[in-house]
Amino acid sequence: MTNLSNTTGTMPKRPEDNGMGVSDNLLSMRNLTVSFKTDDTKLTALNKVSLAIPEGKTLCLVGESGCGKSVTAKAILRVLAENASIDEGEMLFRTKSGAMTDLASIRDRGEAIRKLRGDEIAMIYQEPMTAISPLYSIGNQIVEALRWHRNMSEKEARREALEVLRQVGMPAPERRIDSYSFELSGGQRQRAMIAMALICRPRLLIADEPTTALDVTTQAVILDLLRKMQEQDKMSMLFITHDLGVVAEIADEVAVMYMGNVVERGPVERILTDPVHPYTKGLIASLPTLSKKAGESLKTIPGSVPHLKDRPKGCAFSNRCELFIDGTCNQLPPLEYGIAPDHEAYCHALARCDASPQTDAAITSKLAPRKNEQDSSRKGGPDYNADPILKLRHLSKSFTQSSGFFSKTRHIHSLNGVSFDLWPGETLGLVGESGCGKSTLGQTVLGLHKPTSGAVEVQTEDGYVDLAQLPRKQLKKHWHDIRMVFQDPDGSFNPRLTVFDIIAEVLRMGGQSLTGKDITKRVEDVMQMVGLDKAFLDRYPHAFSGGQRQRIGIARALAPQPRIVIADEPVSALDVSVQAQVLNLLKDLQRELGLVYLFISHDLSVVKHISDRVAVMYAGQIVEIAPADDLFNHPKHPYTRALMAALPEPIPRSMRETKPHHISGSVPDPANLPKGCPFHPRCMFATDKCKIERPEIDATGYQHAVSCFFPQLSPAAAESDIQSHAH
Amino acid sequence: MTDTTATAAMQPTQIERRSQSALIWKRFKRHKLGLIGLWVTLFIYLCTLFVEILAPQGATAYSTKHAYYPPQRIHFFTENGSFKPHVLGYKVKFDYDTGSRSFIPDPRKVIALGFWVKGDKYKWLGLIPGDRHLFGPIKPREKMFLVGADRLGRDVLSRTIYASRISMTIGLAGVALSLVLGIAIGGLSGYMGGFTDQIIQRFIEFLQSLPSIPLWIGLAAAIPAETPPLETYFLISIVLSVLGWTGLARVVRGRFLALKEEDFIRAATLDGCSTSRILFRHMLPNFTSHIIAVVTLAIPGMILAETALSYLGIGLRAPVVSWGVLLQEIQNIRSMATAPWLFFPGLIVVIAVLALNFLGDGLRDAADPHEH
Repeated sequence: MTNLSNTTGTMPKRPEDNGMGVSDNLLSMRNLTVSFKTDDTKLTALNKVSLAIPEGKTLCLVGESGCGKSVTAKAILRVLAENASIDEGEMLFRTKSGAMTDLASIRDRGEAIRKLRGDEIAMIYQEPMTAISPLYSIGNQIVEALRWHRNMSEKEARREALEVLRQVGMPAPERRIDSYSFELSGGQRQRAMIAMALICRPRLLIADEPTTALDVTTQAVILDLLRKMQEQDKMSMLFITHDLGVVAEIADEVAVMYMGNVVERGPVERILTDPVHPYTKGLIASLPTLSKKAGESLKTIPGSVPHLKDRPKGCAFSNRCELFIDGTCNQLPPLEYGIAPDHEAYCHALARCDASPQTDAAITSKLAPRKNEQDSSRKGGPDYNADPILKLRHLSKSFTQSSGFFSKTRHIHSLNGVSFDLWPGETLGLVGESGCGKSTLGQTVLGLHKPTSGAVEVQTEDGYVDLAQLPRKQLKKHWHDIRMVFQDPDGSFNPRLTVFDIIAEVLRMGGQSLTGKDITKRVEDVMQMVGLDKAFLDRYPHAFSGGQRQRIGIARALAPQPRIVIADEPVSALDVSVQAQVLNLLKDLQRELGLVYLFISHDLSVVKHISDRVAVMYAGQIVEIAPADDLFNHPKHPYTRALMAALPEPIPRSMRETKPHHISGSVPDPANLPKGCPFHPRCMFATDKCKIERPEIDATGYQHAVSCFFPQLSPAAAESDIQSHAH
Repeated sequence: MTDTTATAAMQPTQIERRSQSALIWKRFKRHKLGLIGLWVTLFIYLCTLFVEILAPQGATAYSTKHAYYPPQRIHFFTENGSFKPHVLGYKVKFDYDTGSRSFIPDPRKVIALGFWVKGDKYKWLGLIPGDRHLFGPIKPREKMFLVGADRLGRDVLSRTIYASRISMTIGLAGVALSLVLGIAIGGLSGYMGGFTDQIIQRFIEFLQSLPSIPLWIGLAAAIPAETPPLETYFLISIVLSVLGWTGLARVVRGRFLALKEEDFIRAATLDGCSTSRILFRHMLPNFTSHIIAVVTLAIPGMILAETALSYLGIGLRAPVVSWGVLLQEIQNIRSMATAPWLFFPGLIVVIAVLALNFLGDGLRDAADPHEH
């Protein structure tokens, strides 16, 4: 790492560089190295990380899982795990008094850090349900920090708490201050946690994936709030996220991390529009977005993030990098490469092409977006002239929930009359927020839940068969025709079975009476289809990475040669770079095998990327269904529009045309749906009619259909209308 | 396809081949107390196999002149310094004022010790006759009392060793019975759910709310006094498992409920597996390690229950030798005061129970998939 110290002179934001000892950085982290002791080895979680958080600005830490983002946050607050230690480096924090404190050298249980925690440096977490104690009212927990740090009287503290709750937009703060975390909705809980963090007016707020557990509409509201609070209090923020869309919403500066190294840092506009490091470029290219053309194959980063114990020598990214220079990248730590005074990357290849322009050309050509040849050659595609392969008619499902002998039973209406058709060769994307019934729909189609009413008609050699009427025994043979890919690549495999047994199970149970040889052949075939070596067949699932496991899941689905595959959030547990690989694989397989996908996801951009048609679900109903381009270019339902407005796109705020508007409220309780249109309590355009009558939708066929009384409103008209409602 | 093939291709050597049970063993090895528990438990069970050979005397051998003989120390060297392991006999002095006896080591009564010596005749495991003992006085007529003797002059060490066979295995028998009941009823409860589940759970709660000692006493009283020892042994183990199965049933039910919601069970259903195949191929192997852990933790409970019942005189009865029966010797203050070494079986109970508990704790932690 000698090169780093050589270049410190050019480091733009080193406080000491400024002769006066004054700089605009609140926190300067230099060469921070953190390691974890495990049984056998010492793992380096942070490797000489240097960061600067400017006063009043937001620094975003971006990276895939395991890259050291959360460790960085915990290191600042000195709340690292027991087996972790800071081996090297400094974290200079300018306190209120103006003195510089090195957070890396003070005791982690000492008075000094405790004075800062919760007062000058506060933190909000991903999961407010577990970060807020259910035993104390939220008011109690908010005033805690005030009473501790400010020595305030109870009455004064409560007044402060009410004020901060009002500021974070908590509805009816006088009432909510005495409620408990479990009485609040997800968004309200997150607001309460933000209030808790802001009560002492911290100068640095650390937010660790604060919106990841939230629905996209709630996320948009919370991001707005955080930005507003930051501007108002002139607070600095360290914002941790894996989502480049969120980065665009909130960041001023961005640091991209990979395996405990910062690989590139710079202003958000530059990182998102003109990244230089191959990893950053790969991340951005592999992200499906609304603005990218649908159907295009995504660019991928090969492989996946290795375990820390397998950190490659030299540059940590060298084994996945397309600019890899043998003998350099895998031997020496990467060189710092400055693009602009405030934008730098750590890469041998970039530094080298600066020196010799010839290699520059070679590297630039490698970096240019790959034209996708397969795009035009796409054969098959949806065939809307044929008969639908699957017809859903008025499918409803309600669950009864009782928690004991004496408690009242609740009826949960998960599906309320869902109809649509699936045509050969098409992908129907099913999108909606959590609790909208999309997963229940997938499972009800298969017959895992017996529908309360309605029909699931699947095309067979002897005409249409209604799966909803069939007993389990006869359903089984259709389960070879309609297969499922599960969300969680951890929980969907029996940990006691080898990969071979996992994939072969369906073939052994099949009615086709295959011999052992046939089964082996078929299993090896599907392994090859999903791009896995058949040498893996005798391994157990825990040994694989998330992306590889999802490939095994796809292989299992494909084993009995199905026609329809229901994929329930198949990529939502995966890192961005791996997600792109799996999405590409799904598309390739569809092209080769002529599969029909019902693709269930909460992520609009993923759905847009993979789907021919898209259905939007809300409260157990389809509110809008249309061909993908049509839906994303001309959304008609207010909910669809709200979803699209809430989706953060990786385009920096300063470069966007319109400021999106966000709906408030949350998804209704499926046990207690509102009368009339279920969306009316959150809808800007709701009239009295919407509150009484339920709008109908004919979602069969392949044309654009919408369940709304006033769908014609143009986006512009909607804009102005929302404006007038907002005030 | 070439693109995706290349991206996922990894060297097969990078994917480890270890099975789930190998991982559990790896995690278990980290648990130091658990490992100690494992070795101690194995040692005790090994001893129960060879009690006749390990014990220096027979279980029923008595000698009235050695009544309440205190523990003897092993000396390795004689007075003239030559190596010769021996114990010293006691000279008994009777104090007529207080009415108590005192034992003074007599340097002239040297009892030489050796390995693989002739002694009381026995039948190993009731089958193979023999008279050799691992360790004892070289002359068969002499006696050695390393932890003293009881009121009939029986060797406490030998009897404790003999008792381990009954006491350690009655736990196994009881747990085996509880396990069958627990898996069957708990599995039924978890798999059926709904009304069946409610009924079974309420019944379990009822059983658990009964005070255990009076219930045991009641059941044990139903065993006729003239029942042969072996039959009593089995009846007592049934009595113990009447309450023991409820805890196991709850654990099994909990695992069932948790597993039922796992995606891989759903996947197995969609693969077309029958109910029994889901139960036995997909569910059961996933909680065998938990069950082994719970069983290990249940055995000490059974051992303690047997000890308590026998101590109270309602469990096993002489001539059967169990730790509880041995502890009956110290049911009064006088024997406690004059012969505290009679507590020795109690010490062994503590060691055995602790070892099993450590082992069970270690297994439970290792089997928990969330503890990586």
